[in-house]
Amino acid sequence: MAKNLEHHRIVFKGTKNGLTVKIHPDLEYEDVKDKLFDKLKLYDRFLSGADVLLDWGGKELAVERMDELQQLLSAAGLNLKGTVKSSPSSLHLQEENLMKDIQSEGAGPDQNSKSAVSPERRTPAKAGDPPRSLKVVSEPEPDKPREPNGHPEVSEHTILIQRTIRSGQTIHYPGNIVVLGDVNPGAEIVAGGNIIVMGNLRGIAHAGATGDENAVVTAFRLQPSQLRIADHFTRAPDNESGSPDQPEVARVRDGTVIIEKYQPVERQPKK
Amino acid sequence: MGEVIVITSGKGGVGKTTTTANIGTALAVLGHKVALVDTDIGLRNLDVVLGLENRIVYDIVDVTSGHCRLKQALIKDKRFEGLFLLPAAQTKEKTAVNPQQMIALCQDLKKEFDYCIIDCPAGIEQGFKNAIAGAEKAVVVTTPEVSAVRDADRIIGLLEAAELREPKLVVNRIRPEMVKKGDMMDIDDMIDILAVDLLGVVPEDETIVVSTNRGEPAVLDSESKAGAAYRNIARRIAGEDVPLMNLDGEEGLMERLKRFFGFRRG
Repeated sequence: MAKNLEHHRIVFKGTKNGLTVKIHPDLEYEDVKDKLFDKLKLYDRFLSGADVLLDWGGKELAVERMDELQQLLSAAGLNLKGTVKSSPSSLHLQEENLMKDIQSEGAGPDQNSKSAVSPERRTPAKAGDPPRSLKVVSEPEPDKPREPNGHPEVSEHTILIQRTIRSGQTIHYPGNIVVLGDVNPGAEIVAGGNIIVMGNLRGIAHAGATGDENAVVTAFRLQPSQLRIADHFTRAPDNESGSPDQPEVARVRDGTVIIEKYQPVERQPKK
Repeated sequence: MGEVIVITSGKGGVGKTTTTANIGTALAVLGHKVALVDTDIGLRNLDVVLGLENRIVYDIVDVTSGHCRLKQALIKDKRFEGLFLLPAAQTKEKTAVNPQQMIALCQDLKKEFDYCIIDCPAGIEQGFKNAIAGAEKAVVVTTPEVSAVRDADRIIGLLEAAELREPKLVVNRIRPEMVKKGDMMDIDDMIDILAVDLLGVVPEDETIVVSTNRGEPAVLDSESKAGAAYRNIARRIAGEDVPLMNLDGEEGLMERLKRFFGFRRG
């Protein structure tokens, strides 16, 4: 991962705390602005509506700069929810909620009114937070049931598409995508979560586009020209002949994308 | 009221213009009143294929911009009473016509003709948008090549987005002996990817080259296999139930093609 971070400098990643914008600590502020702008342009409207956290390796940011980045993100339809502080001594993440609307709209420490306004679902609000203070949330306790794939903001919803996706057509969706039909060569499907194609997948599929490595691509006939899961890219072998005669599933295991026979029972490791 | 059909493909050189000329002529032979419209402004050649280039006075841009009346620009074919050509302009650009003007033009043509067949330029830009604007039905021409099928797929997607549902497929320039050896995509593969109804299969035929150069559509040549295939396609457009012709004299392919004709999905 470190290598990827080094390479991309700014990475959108699904973490257990939600969608996080990871910024390499060595980057200068002006650089970050430019790169973030480029990155957001790349994602287009795809991430629109998502809540994000900012992780700059624990760097403190001046309020004006924070506002500036927030504006940049909201122009792309993203809600900046807070920053992530990586404490050097432990791996525990701390999250500061900077959403001013929560605190400044008179909600104060009141638990009920807070949950009514907050767009954030997972943060267990702690009673007794002082008004205007930054909320500190610790990592979910290990014994608590966790979301199966670690980032609920991205993968809760599923869209059903009942047609053939043809060359030049793209489907972008932050959650899961299910296609009842074929995905033809030249077509592109990008999902924040999983992709399921009840037909021939011959185009490009990108599951876990926001960084979820647990995302899978399943197809009735899996023969994509290119397959991407999180930031792992693979393509079809150049000299492959013949096509699969059974449903298959692609997933990331030990850092590489593997394709195996689809087995319905296998996907039930609860927790 | 007539029917407006656009002949399109995305890729160039697959035989849109040849298909337009042959289907149009064959429909005229069947006794229908047909208008052929060349929308390939700047690169017109439907007039050449029909052997009418020396009769052009006004063109489609003159009509849409109001420089002449529609009747003045329509060229009557030298062989058939019911066949007319509205030529493209050669000295203008695709942007000289807009989709609204095309819709109005097609409305006018529909009143006069049984079939209005529009020859679409290659590509998916302005010329394509103009060509499909006034159409009610679409015929997608492809050849058994991966690139042509890919473009046909793209075009079908764009047609569907433009509410031109259920386009029909013409597979042009197929070589049965190559298909049999496994060296060429077969109809099966193409239908599998494109998921549309097959309107006809036209074999590769040298007589097409000769007839195109002479300005005599191949459907008028009773010896031409491609001409026979186009005559069948025209009859299917006119509503007849014509089986796919036997391309190589073998039962196997014939039966397979029969199976695909009328094949429906989704």
